[in-house]
Amino acid sequence: MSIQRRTLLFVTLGLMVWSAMATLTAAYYYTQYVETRRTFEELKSLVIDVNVLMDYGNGTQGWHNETVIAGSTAFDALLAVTKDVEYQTTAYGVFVTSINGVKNVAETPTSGRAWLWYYWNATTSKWTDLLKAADAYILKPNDSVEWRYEGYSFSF
Amino acid sequence: MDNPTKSWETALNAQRLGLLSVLTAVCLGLQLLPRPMNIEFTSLISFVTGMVLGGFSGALLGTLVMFVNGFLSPYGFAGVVLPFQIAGMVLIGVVGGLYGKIASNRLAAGNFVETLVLGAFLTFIYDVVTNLGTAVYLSSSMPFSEALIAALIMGVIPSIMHIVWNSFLFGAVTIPLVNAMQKTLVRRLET
Repeated sequence: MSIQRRTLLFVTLGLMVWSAMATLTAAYYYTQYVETRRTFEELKSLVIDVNVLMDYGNGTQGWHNETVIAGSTAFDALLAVTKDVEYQTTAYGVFVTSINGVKNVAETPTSGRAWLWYYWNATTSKWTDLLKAADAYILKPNDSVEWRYEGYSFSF
Repeated sequence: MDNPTKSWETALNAQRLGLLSVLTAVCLGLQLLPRPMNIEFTSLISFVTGMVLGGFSGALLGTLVMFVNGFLSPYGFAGVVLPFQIAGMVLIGVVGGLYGKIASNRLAAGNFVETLVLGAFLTFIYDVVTNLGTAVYLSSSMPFSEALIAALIMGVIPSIMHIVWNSFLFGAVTIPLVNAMQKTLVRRLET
């Protein structure tokens, strides 16, 4: 066998192996992609996207787009934004007392500053106080909630 | 009066048989050791045995080692894949024999590249053949064509590891090993 033919033979063998393995590898990763995509679609039905607005009451505001498990509450959405949350559990649900180090302050027995939460009512296009604890409201897909540090006062 | 040629041939056969037995034992020992999957020396030893002692000897060594491996492998009983493993290893031994007839044992870069390419090609063929066995096994629960495609695709990552390992091994070791084995045979015959 001449040197040229011999070289050609071995180059051909090498290219055959390379092309076959490249094709099979592509097929392997395609099947992995299809599998991952299917899993992703399944998981997507188990989670929802929500928007959380943090308002520190001093002009500092920030929007957070979070993905939470379906069935999560407005309080879960807050915990998705930050873990630095202090709260009390009461008979009515959780009451947030501090977020990111900003604590509720009672200036008088009937007034002060505290973290309150609001729900964005898309029909009226207004932030709405639902008058319930944050862990009592089950989020719907694409809901927007606001956590606002603001002054409060009430009278008996 | 003894025929000197016949006595030389008898000595040669005894030496070859001895070498084949030792190689089979070494190969079997290596094959049965706990080791990472597809990191093996049986292909190389079958191929080299084929080159030095002829294709039949290479195929015989491959058959014996894979047969025992099929039952005692650290990865468990090979089952229906066993005949395919044997067939793959027979092919490697036979190709070793054919290559031995045209190979040059000079320590030249071209020869190292040739054995590297042969290592990759033969390992690829071996993996395709054994994946065929896996497809036969899987075909009990799905159509054979689907089983074959699944076996080929899912086996690609171990196969790449196998091909890379054997390419390196064949490329680096074949020529020096063949030279060493041939020298051993000649030296023993001369003494």
